[in-house]
Amino acid sequence: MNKESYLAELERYLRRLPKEDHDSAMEYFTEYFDEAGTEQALAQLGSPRQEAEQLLQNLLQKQVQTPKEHKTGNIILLTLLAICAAPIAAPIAIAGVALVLAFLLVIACVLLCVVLFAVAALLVGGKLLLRAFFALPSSVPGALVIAGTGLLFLGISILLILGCIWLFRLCTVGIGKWTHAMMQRKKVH
Amino acid sequence: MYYPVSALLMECLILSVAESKDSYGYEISQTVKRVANIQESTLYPILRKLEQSGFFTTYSQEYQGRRRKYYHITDAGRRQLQFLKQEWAAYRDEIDAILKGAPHHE
Repeated sequence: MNKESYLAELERYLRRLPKEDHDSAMEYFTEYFDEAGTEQALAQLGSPRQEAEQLLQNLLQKQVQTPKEHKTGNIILLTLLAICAAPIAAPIAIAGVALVLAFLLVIACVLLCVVLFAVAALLVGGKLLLRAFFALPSSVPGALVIAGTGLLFLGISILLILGCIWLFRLCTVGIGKWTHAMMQRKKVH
Repeated sequence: MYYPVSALLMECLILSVAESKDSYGYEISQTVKRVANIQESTLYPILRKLEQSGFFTTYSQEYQGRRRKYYHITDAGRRQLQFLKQEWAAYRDEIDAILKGAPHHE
């Protein structure tokens, strides 16, 4: 092995370094050969591979120690990762509670709609009955038709209100049973 | 030499070589090798670190047809060297005192 082949092999191993570090290191070893003479340099130096491995290891260590920006950057990154990764249970719990509340709200809205419809039907039925009473002198069959329609509406209204009460009971009992079951389960744990 | 030279003492030695006049890689290498069995692959990264820490500035100069990279010590380098020398002197004196058998009284 001569100076050229030694330096060429060393360069091959150091290619991974940033250009500035690579050039500087090659400059140092070239200079070493020039000063010491090829024979002595080859005798004193390890193989290109050994020297390159040591160089990479040592240069990397030095770089880790000097720039402080890397460290703070890493700390911020690690903190972000920790925040994102660790309490995954909390967001899921919040989402679950929100889902249950939304479900309850939907049920309440449906109940409210049915109740409003029933009240409206009650008012319409009452008004039609009253109207039939006033229409009686002019047309008996007409008055009877109007009164029948009014009664129909009253009937629908009463049925709806009964249905609402039944549904409301079902819901409250259901929710009550469910929460009770949850409590029991938590107590067991 | 039987005793290893620590990384800080190595810095102290390297800075000292270039203290009175600018020095170059081979000269620094040959000087520190009088006391330390150090590889070029270990010595060079220390030189590079000292340069990047602002303790050395470098420039290239022709010498008998070949290029030499010279290391010039900066003011920061001189301050660092003074600190390292003080620390070394204190360390050496304590070691000497113990080796001479002086007991510890304070």
